[in-house]
Amino acid sequence: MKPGQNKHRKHLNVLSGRSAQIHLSETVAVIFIFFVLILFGAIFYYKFQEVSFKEKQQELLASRAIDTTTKMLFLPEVSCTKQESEAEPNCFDMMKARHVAELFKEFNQTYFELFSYAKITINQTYPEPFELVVYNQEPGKWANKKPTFFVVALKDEQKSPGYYGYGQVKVEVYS
Amino acid sequence: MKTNRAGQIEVTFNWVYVLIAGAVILLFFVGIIARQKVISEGNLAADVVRIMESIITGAQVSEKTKSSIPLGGLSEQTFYFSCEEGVSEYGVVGLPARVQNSLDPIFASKKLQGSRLILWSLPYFLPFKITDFLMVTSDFNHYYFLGEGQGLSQEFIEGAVDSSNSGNSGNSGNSDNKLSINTQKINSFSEIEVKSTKVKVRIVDADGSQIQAGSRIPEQLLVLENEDVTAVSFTANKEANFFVKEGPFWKKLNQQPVPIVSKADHRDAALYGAIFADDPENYLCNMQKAYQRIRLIAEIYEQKITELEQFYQNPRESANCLGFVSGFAASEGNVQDTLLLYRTRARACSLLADSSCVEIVEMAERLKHLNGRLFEECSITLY
Repeated sequence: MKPGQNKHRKHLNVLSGRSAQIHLSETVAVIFIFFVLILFGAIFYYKFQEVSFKEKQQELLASRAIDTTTKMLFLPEVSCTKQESEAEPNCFDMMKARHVAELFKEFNQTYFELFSYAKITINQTYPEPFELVVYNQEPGKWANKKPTFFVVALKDEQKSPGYYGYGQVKVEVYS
Repeated sequence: MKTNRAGQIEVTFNWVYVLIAGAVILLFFVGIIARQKVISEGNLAADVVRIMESIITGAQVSEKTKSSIPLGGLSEQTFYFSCEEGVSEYGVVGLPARVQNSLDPIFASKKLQGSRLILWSLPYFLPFKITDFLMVTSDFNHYYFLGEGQGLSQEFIEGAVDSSNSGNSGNSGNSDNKLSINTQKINSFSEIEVKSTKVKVRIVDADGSQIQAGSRIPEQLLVLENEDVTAVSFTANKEANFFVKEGPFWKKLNQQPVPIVSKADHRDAALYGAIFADDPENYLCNMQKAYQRIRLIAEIYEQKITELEQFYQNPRESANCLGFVSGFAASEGNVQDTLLLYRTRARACSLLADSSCVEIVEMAERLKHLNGRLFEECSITLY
């Protein structure tokens, strides 16, 4: 072998070694960028899920507020009655409502299954304003509260037969 | 030569490296997709059950109304309704989400399938309103009525058929109408037609004379599964017997006749509950909830009586009315004492579910009579 050829071969070896190193670095860089992109995707997905979860929570809270209000408005324990006929709609019998808070407390477990964490208040507007809290189960820690209002007639035959006031029932649910 | 070999090894190694790395990345994404699929199915189940819960809450409070839930893509799924130890549970078979309810009576078959669910709410009075019973059925369920049952068959069919559809005949339910329950009055078992093996047949022996334990199942029903053919038979004593198909014979499910605790003359919710509930355990479990509620409602009416008593103790008010409320012990008694007896029996019934439940009916009759007298004499009522 000529001396020049040896040098040339060594030079080629060095070049192919460097080329291999560059190739390897390229591969590592590609893989690194690939995982960075996956990380960005994962962060984006996580943020999207977080927003989606909060929206779902609000939706569930609104749904629970409606369910609790519906149950309260049609509760036989407070509804006005007309003997064997259908109950008077949107009417609370105050002679029952004044004592229903004690009943809810005594049978707390039963009514908690019905209303869960909520506060139910009857506010009479006419003729004499007053406020009556019939149910109150506030959790120790809560993040959201959703109030729902409904206008009701308040029948109070202890004042006189056929006596009606009116007001609103306020149902606040907690989450 | 060495360079060639190095080149060959490098190319081969590259391909192997690409294959392994590619496989790992593919597996990673496939794993994510599979996990997301499971989460999505769980979310769907939870959504379905949550929406059902809202619909059921709304349907229950709308007394004497029927509502229809089209199932669409869920028509292939099977819904289950169970009741054990006073707690109802319902959901979709095979999916994790479910709803439990220990307050509201829901009478339904153990398994329901169909293109739509039909919900029918009826108020339960004894004598004042206790709660609303919710009956759940589907368009795959067919109800056949044998005998008159003192007007029960005709009354049920009229109520089950949606009256807004003027094309209905008096004897059968129009299954094309979304709110109509499939019902038919029959004079003999031969009139039953089975058009599909997916249907569930429920026979109501309104007079209590046609179906007995050990008697033969109609031939055309033998093609159906045992659990899809059930029957209930009502006696003149207002008791029910439940039957299910076992091979070619009827098998009685209850040892003792199940009492129907009610005083309603029209649209008896407790009676209708026995028509919709498949078995006596389900029926009694849901009635247990009603008994618990009777006790709670009785407590609140006792407090109302106290207020009425205070009102009539006012000298300006009629002493006669005070007598009706809590005074003179005439042969008919007074409201306060009768209500106390009612509440005592209600308490025993809610705890023991024994014969004291039937005794409530007698107390309820007396309260109804006294309530009427109170209204006539004093223009005021207990309920």
